[in-house]
Amino acid sequence: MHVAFHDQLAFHLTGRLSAGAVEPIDGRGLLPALFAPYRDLAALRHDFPLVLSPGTPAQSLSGLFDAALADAGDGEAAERLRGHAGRMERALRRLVAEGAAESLADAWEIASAALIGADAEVRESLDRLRPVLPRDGMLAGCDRALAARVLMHEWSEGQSAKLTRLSAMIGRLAAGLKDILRADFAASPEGRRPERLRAAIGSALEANFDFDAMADLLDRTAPARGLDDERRRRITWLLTVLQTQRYAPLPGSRAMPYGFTFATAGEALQAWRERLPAAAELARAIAMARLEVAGDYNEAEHDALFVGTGRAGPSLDADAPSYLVCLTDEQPTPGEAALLLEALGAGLPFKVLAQTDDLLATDDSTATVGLRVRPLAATALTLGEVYVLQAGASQLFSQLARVQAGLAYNGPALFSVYSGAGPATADLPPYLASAAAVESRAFPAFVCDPGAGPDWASRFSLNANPQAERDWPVHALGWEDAGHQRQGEMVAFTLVDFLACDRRVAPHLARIAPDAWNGHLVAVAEAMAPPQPDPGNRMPCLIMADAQEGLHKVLADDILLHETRRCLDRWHVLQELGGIHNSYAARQVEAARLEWATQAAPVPPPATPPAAEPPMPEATPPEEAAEPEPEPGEPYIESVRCTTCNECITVNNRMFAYDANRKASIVDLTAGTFRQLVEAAENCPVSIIHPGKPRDPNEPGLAELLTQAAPFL
Amino acid sequence: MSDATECLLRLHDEQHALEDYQSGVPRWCSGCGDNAILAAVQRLCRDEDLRPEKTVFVSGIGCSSRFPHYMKTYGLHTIHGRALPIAEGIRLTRPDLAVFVNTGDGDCCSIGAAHWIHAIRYNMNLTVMLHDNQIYGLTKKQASPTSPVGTRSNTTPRGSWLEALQPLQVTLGVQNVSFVAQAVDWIPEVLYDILRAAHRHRGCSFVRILQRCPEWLPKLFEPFVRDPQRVCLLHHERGLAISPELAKIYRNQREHDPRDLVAARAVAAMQDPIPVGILYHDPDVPCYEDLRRPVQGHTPERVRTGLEAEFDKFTIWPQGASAAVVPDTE
Repeated sequence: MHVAFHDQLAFHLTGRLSAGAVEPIDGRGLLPALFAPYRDLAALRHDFPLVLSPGTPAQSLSGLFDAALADAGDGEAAERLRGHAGRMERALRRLVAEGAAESLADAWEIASAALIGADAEVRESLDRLRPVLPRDGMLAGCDRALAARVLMHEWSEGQSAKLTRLSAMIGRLAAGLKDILRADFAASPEGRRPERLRAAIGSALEANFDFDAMADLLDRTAPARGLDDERRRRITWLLTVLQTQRYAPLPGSRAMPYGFTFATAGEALQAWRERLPAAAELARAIAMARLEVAGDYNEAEHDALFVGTGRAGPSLDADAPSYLVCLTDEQPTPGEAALLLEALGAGLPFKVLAQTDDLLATDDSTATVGLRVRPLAATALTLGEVYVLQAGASQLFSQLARVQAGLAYNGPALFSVYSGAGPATADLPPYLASAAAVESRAFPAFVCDPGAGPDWASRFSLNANPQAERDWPVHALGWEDAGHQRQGEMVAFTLVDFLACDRRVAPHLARIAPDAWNGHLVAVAEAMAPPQPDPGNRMPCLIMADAQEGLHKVLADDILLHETRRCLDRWHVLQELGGIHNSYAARQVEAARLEWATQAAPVPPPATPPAAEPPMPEATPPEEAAEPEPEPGEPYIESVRCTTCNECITVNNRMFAYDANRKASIVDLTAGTFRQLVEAAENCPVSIIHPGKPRDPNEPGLAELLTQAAPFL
Repeated sequence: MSDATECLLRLHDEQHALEDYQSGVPRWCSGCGDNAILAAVQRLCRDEDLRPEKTVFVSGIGCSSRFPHYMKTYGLHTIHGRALPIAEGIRLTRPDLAVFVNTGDGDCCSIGAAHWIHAIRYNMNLTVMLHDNQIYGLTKKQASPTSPVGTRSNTTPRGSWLEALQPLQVTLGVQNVSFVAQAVDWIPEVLYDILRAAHRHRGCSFVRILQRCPEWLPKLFEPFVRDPQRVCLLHHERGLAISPELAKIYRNQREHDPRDLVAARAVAAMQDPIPVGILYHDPDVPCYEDLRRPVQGHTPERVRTGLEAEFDKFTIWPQGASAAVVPDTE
């Protein structure tokens, strides 16, 4: 036992195998035990393959089958239909996994031929299913090409809608400009000639009109002058720009449309720069044409804005087409990365896919293993106004709404995707490899949407990671022991589990024979959780399963443990950004707790009783904003109820007048008599004039007037 | 256009005053409720900064239909009962204009009733003001469809026989109704608030304005004017907010959700007290002009091309000739 422990410790610390208790894992086909149920992925229902049909967003095959069976009902026939649908779905998934079919129609044909055989019931079920599924669409499995295909599909949908809108808008403006020229022609001497008028009426009715008289009549009422030369030149120029632009060519235009997909950032940036003058000209033409068509173009005001200056150059904004750059090859060169960051930082409408196939950087000379640092996504986060989505390829369907949001975002977007299709993880389907990378925090998923809000909390989210609040996600693992009894424990999925899938890491792992198991072997998460006072006593080990589903304990060396710590540190930084275990918040909470504890502590009684404090004055409600109450006896009008009926104004328009909102009020009491006040009060249909008391006690007939005024006081 | 350009363009926008919308002295009788409506509309135009050259008032025939004469905007004083279809035509061809319709109870609910029903169903972006004084005033007192039963007039000297038509209930029964409100001319603040909400609503906003006729039915609304308790103000967070000054006078208030059509129909049936406020408002009903908006405008050029193509289908060309060799007569 002691010898075995010594060998294990030696391997853990040095990575060297000595004969005996530790054995190499090469050739055993070991995978982390949590993967055991997923070895035959094609037999399991999951999001993939996706169906990419034109005109609709990407759909999952299993989702389509679920929708098709939603109304199947209950009973034996419905159960049979479900059974057959399940078999068909499995067959289709297997065909895609084997690469035997690319389109849904082809795959359906192959699979149905194999399934139906001589079974009439299967034929009937499949005949019922086929019409409710999409007619066709490309099938996309989770492989190396997936990210580019999904992104291209979603981008094309949005881009074509955008260009259709832009083209329609430009078409409307061009039609409006042509109308101006046409109307000008119709009013010109040439347009008023009798021959023109005759041609406009047509031969069927020409006998009914005297075109010479009509032309003469039109000559007499014709406008003095038509379009001035400057405006005509401007409209012609606008029409030329709109009709020859290559962003969204009008129907019938011979202009070659621009392409917007690129394989490198350099090409995209170059195209952007070359097209910049044309884009500025088009945007200016659109802005000018809008004003021109609405009849609002005023040369004195607008020429300075539009002609010969780029100061306030308008942009195409929401209708501007975006540029798609798919970097699916290996790591871009430093120059390429710099160009990319320049484009993203400048806020250009670039949608960039940066795909990673291999997360591992190995160095044979120093025998180190480490995660390859891909700073692109992290750097893009710091640019502020870039939409950044990082995800595994396995998440592309569940995160589809976020992909679409990024493509629709009015600014640059970066999609950093790990495909899981690296050369050294070939034993594992890319779906599992990419899911494992996200699960193990090797490639954490996150999204930063600058359009979601002004603060980091509303922009940044880690919720696409499983159990994001923990260091490592924890899952239940169950197995049968030698005595055929069910055993189980909770197992954390750590970076070592992900790395163990890579055959290049095999030298850093060693299987431990069951008779050499001992209490020093602990789970990886446990081995690194607290600070280790005596690290030599605890060795990280993980549970792996072979092809026959036999379980093995595998020891990891210190290099892997070191890399796992670095990975966890990076994860902690992300967690803080995502508001999980935030150290600032924790300190605030701690300070508040301390303060609360201090206040809650019993205060020692004072030596002498304090003098009775004067009673607190009772809280008085804040006084309402006082309205200017009329003085008693002063005449006034409840202006808010005035119906602008002109009655009082008719009586005396110097005493009564309207304010800015056409409400009457008394503006000059000295300009009229008490009699007029009473008369206005009597005439007012809504009785809002109150005459008050007479100012002049000697006014004739005062007694009678006071009687008349009484109802209005 | 970018925000910066919008900003710069807006610098040149003119600010308008009430006088920019006033045209002449109204010839309505003094004390006529139309004056209050005119004052509220002119205030609305100023506050919403409607450009006079981009605003149209369309009316039919009647006292209220003199309205466009007193607005210094574009206006059409059209034929009896046909204000709505003409306004719809304007809206369809000039979607950039703000279109208002002024119509009376005779103009809208009698001779123009067919157009009224279909204007509600088409839901084009118009602000319709029904000046309802419940009498034909211009022709000196004849009963209108909304005259209360028993109204003595030149055409009904023994009192009218039929129950009055209720325009709110009719409107709320038409498909695609999107905005229905009732105002009274003697509470100008609420009248203004309702007209503003109606103008801001995208769709056919139907506002019935109960309006006093001091000449022919001077006693009709007097009890309601004198007693604020006989007016019930409708308020809701999605409808109107009542100012504290007004709330002191009109204490009879009721919370009513303008999205609730069933409740709106119940409110519309109230006669006494008179409900005042927004009865129904659904901003999601599509406008006809949006549904039928062509991708490209119907320019004379396009219409001509389309017509030529249709005619060519039936044209018989002489032997050996084709459309291409026929000389262009233009």
